[in-house]
Amino acid sequence: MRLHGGRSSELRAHYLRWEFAPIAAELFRQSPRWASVTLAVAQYWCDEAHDAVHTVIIPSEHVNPGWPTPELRAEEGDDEAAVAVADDANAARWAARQSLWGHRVGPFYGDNYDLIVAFAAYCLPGCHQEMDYSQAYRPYAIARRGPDASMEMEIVGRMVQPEWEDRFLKPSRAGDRPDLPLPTPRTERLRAGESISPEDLLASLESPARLAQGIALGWRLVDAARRQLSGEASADQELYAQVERWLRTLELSP
Amino acid sequence: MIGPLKLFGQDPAALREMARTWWARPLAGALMADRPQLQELVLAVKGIDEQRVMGRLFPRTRVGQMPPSWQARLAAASQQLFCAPVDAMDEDEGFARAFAPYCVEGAWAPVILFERKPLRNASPNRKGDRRFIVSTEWIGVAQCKDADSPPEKLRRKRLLATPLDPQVEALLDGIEALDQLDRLSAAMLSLLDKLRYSHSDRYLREAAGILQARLEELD
Repeated sequence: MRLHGGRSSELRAHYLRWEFAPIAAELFRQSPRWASVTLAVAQYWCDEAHDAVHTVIIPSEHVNPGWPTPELRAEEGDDEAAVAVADDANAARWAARQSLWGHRVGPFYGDNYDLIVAFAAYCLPGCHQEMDYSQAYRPYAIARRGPDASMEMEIVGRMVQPEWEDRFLKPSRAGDRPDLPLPTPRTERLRAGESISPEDLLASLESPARLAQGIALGWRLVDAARRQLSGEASADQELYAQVERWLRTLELSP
Repeated sequence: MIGPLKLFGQDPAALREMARTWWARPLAGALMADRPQLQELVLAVKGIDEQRVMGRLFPRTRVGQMPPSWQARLAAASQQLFCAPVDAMDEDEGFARAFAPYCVEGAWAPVILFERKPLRNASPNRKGDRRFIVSTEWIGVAQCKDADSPPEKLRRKRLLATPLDPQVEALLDGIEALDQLDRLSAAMLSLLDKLRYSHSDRYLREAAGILQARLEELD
């Protein structure tokens, strides 16, 4: 399962409405003790993916839990009671996933892909796994129990790495996934009343020429793949280097 | 407020995929978990008007039948899973774009079959673990191409009717090429990765197929 959307904001809206909100609602249903549920996000550079964005969902007994939430602070301080509460919360979260999607562990393998595009702009740079959650993660949204089984949601995240917004091809392992979402075409965004960035305007002057180069290289790459599949030829390093140079002109690093 | 349920996707195929994985399949799973004897469900769709399509789940042998008890079950499952009524998708443009090509005048058209499949490695020790998974199969028969469905035509008309600044209009070819570059470079990046790092033939073939399709679109 992957997130859908053609802008980072749409991927976030998808995640909030289709994953976070149902889990928060399920946590509220399961236990009256939770007054709020916080969604926090972190970007890591030192795990298996080299680049990944992870999310964490933390229920709290407090309506305004702040960050770190009192429960997280107590847990990181090795307060045994808090650790037990955190275990309960985790169990509740897995149970919520189970009732939603039939899997205890989320069937979402997007941490190395979609979630980077969605949330990296809201993550602190340079985090690593030796850091506590309270240091590495930043809160993005808080769901609060409303009247009559309703729910209120507040976005509390602040953009701290704007250069990551809408960078669909940026994830370091983009090559792994040909079905990664692509940005909504700029032409469509223009017609829908959005403006175009000065960078894109400048790039558009050169884009027809770059496209022509890309098409020629693309056919050669398809041909190289065919020959490799049929065993007629082995790796063509010179062609790969040419393609890599072309990708670099688009600021894409293979 | 948590906002309405809404599908995201750039084309009807992506919207259908989202509707299947994020909406209909979890709903089918919840209904099956609630009634162990329920083996098969069908998502059927029906046009409301040119811009709206409704979709509902039915037991396979009762497509189109909505007795109050089933209606109540659907409503409860939808509310519990998505904090939204079961007809929440009826007003969504994305849902209409996804399924309008499958609609048949005046009747419910089945589009996806959901089957309960036993899960052999389910853990019996964990409370609440489901002992089954929900498999899906597309069974819909498209009545027209995606691009020719009424909601898609209306959307295109709306977008094209939006006036653009004449200076931007002049640059549109370059901007369109920039969009095409996004699609092409993503496919090239993927194939280059497969060629370089000796992925299996299957992945290599898949990536080459995607790139070839993009190149053919551009030709």
